[in-house]
Amino acid sequence: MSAGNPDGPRLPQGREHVVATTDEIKPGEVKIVPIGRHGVGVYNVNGTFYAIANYCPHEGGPLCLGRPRGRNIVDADTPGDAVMVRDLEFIYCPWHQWGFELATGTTAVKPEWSIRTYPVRVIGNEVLVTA
Amino acid sequence: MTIQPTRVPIASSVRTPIRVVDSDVHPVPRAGELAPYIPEPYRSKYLAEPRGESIMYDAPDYLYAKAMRVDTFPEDGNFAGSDPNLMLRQAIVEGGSDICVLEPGFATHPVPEMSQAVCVGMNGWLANHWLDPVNNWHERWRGSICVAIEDPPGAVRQIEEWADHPFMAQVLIRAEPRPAWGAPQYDPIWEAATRHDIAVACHLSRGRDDTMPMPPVGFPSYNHDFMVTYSLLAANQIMSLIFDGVFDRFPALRIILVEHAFSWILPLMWRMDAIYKARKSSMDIKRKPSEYVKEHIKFTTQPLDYPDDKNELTRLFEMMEADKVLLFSSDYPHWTYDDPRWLVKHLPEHMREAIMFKNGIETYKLPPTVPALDGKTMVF
Repeated sequence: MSAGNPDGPRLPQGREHVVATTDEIKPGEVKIVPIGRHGVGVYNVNGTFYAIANYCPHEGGPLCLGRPRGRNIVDADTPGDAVMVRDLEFIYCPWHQWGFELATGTTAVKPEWSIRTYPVRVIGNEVLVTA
Repeated sequence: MTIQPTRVPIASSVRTPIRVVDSDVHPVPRAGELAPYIPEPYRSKYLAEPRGESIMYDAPDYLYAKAMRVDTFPEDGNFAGSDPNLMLRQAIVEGGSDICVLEPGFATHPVPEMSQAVCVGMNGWLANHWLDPVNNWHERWRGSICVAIEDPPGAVRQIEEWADHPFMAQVLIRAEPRPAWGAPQYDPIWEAATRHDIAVACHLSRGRDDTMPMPPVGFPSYNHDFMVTYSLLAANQIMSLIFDGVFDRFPALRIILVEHAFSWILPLMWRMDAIYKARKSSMDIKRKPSEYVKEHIKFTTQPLDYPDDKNELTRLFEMMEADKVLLFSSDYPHWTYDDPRWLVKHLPEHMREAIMFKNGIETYKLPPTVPALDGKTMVF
């Protein structure tokens, strides 16, 4: 993955970039764009686009290589007493499974920590990220 | 038909100093890869056995992640840790380790000969699929001679067969079989290991029935509780080694306790030294128990436990003389993986070289350098 390669071409930091077309990132998918030291992951969550830093604050894992899914809540009426809600709205780090809400960057594991999120705009069929 | 020869990369003639020795990395056989190395009749018996899941609850999202880093599963559908090239990229090039000590998983079977047959298989498999010139062209894999300690003659045969292999770095045993390691029945194993000047490591495991690691008060209710009890097992084996006089009988014996955590060894040394001081006249051992620990036993850094204020860790490291007893470990490809760049930050600066590589080089008899790899992460 180019974003994981520190020697690959990098985009300049601190400005707005056109990073993809809207049909390029399908719901539940990510595109990692080579901005900054670790890259920026751009997500399509059921039609809404979000961007986060590809870096987990826990031990520095490549967060955007993890799996987007929902979160589990207690539901005594279902087998196993738990059910997943809000599918694809959270990202789980591939190393230690810390989960973060893509929209806010917050985590239930350690609420005083969060990940970097970046503003996203959609103009026509282009996705723009300020990072 | 032309046969395409396997392309083996050629190691660089430029050598680079070893700066990180990782004492806990897990290779896994691909589907069908291990069976041919297990001798009959155990091969048929082992493979015919129904295999169940012994983890009742563990890492988050266990059914998906299998207690592994989810980016460590190779694309061919095999299990995490089964592809030497992927491990080379993630644990060494990106992670930054220079040497990985490979520790295959094997469980203690209630039938000792069965456990040993699986160990025989693991050793042959590891030598041919990881430590061979095709897969170890970079000279960064080191193997473990797996032995079932509950079958001492068989264990000695494995040590004799593999101790001279250029990339076998340690003997690997399990702590579950009874009696404890101080019992004289294990002396032939300690004798063979010391004669070959090779360290004996023990990694967490779980057999079944009577070979599950049994805590003193019986089995806990949950798997996370169970995981914590491994330290008790290690503490009991250390007390047995010291008070039953194993280090007096084998002054060159070196033991490595892998993944049992280590912060508990400080109060245990205090307790053993206090008993020794009070009851010395009725003991046969020659030195303070803490001296045996610091001379003969090593612990690995993962899992790293710490107080709320991580700065307090420095005091613990100083009190326990961590530079004498610790070896860095990552536990790749498990979900508990510790990145060496993250781990090293926790160590007092003057202990970093000892814990990250000097103790490892000494323990495993490693050369000071390995062939350089392009683009490899420099940890510190």
